[in-house]
Amino acid sequence: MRRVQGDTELGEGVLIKLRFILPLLAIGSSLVTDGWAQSKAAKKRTPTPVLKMDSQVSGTLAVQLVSSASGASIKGVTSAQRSLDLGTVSYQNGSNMLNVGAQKRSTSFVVSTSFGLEVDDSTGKVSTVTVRAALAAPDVFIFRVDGFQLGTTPQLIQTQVKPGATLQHLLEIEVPTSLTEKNSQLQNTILFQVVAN
Amino acid sequence: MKKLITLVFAAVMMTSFAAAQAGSTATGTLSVTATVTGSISLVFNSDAGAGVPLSTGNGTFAASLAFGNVSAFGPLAANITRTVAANNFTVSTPVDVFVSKFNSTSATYKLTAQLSTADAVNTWSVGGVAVSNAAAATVTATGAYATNNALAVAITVPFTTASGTNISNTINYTATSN
Repeated sequence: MRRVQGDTELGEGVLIKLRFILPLLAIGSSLVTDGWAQSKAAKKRTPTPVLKMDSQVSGTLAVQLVSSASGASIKGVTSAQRSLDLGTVSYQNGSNMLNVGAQKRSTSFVVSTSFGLEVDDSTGKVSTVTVRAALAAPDVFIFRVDGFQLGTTPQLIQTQVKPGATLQHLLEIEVPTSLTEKNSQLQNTILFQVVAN
Repeated sequence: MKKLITLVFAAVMMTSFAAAQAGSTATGTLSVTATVTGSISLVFNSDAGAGVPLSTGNGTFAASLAFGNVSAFGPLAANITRTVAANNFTVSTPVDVFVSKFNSTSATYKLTAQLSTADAVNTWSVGGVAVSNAAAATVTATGAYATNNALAVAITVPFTTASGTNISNTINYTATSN
């Protein structure tokens, strides 16, 4: 076989011609870029089956935050963007909201409630997911989910969660008694992230 | 050629897996709000060394104090102070009132006391201030938080009271942040 510049020899006398490698590299490149390069180059082309499969896998997971039977009412316009109002809370009187507990400690008190988190997979191809949670902003209050203290860096909450089931979680917020009425408005957002294992 | 096919297959699988991994995530947000309000608490403590130990509820907001048998001239339990006047005698013992504050900027508190039921025979006082069931009497105008406030509970009993008469009442204490 005649060799030209760019050909690759894999040993044992196998010689790969450059004209075979280039199309394969092009396919690989389109997969990595999620089809962007291909769609730019040829917008009217029908996507290849491989790209179609990638598109279906992408974004198949969805998070739903739901009220727990024993928890405070969770509201919101979408199932993934919810709000939870714990009402008025104090060391002596706890909370005025239904299903919101309060526990006194020596220099703080802990307000708690439960909520449900469901992970859905529309394709049914994801067997388990990992759940992480983080705070949107640093806070003087201590937020915990299932006992795990949250910060602005995602904290592992649960692994091996099967999509489809609604799992109950415990939210605890510790309020130091040193905070006064003037600086103790509690307002933060917990970000939940689920990743397929 | 076989090696090349294996190589390309692995590359395709890896890129597909990477794409799938990158796409198989989802997020949800839970906005949490609450309004923290300040609060104060009141507990009764036995006045160690100087007062009659609280018979029940020491360290809580509902305690009971038993003077035992009292008389104008007979023996008394320890830590009971007695004064005898022309027509009556008074027994007293200090009880500590401990007020704590939480999430509050308040510097001091006001303490009032009021009898639960009227007592037309005996006279009651807390911290030297007469208390009745008619209205709450201010016992402490500016009390300091987180410290025992020793306030004597006193009962003045007329000599006309028959022996064996049981004297009982409830004093309601109310602390209000200033």
